[in-house]
Amino acid sequence: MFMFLTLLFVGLAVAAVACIMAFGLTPQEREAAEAQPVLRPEQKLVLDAPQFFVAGTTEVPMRPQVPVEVLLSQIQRHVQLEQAAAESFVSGPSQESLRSRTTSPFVN
Amino acid sequence: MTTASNSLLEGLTDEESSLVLALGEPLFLPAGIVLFQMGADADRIFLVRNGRIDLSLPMRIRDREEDILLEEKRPGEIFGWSGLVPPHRFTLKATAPVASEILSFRRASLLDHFATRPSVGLTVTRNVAAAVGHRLQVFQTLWLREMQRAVEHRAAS
Repeated sequence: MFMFLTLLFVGLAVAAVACIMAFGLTPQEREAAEAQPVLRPEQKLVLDAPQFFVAGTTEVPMRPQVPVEVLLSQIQRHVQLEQAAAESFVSGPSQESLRSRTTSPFVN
Repeated sequence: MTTASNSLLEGLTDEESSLVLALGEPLFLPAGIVLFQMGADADRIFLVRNGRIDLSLPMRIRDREEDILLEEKRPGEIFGWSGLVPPHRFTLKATAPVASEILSFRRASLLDHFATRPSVGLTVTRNVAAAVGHRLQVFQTLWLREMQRAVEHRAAS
């Protein structure tokens, strides 16, 4: 019995040493293992459909172009109002008539 | 539009007026005709007898040239004073919007006449100066108002 127990402990000790030798790591090896990057499953990026010549540009809102006739009418009206104001100043100069604000939509 | 009276003959006696008017060459303008362009050489001055003359400022609006009406000249009023005032270039464009009749006075004819009648020359020149002075004052005021707006706009931003 004693012989059996002795052999059992010796066997276990040998097995333990063998395991350490086989799979055990030195402290240096352990540090190296910790320093290695951890590989993770690749993250899949979801991209929008490519938009060449469009991506990155600021969208400029399109302003409807005022017809020339309307513009001309506004300019003519502006000139009339300003000329009337100027005539008023020439006939009776005053700071008020010189600096009176115009109601012309051309400059407002 | 300005309505300031700019008669060429104001202050002259009837006889003096008749002699000056006799120097004028009548011109009949069909509706729509351009009498002169801005910047063109000016060797004569005009007096409206019938109809109307529009004085405008040509302006580029997009790709079109448009006339901005500044003054309307009616019977009795003179226009084209650049014919007597150096550097003798018209400062606006003149068009007859309706069939009109005008008198055209050559600078050389007027100056010859004034040389023999200095008092007439003085009176007519004063009338022309009044027209020029009025234009100057109105345009200076227009410019002042425009500058004032620009200053206010700049100061606010």
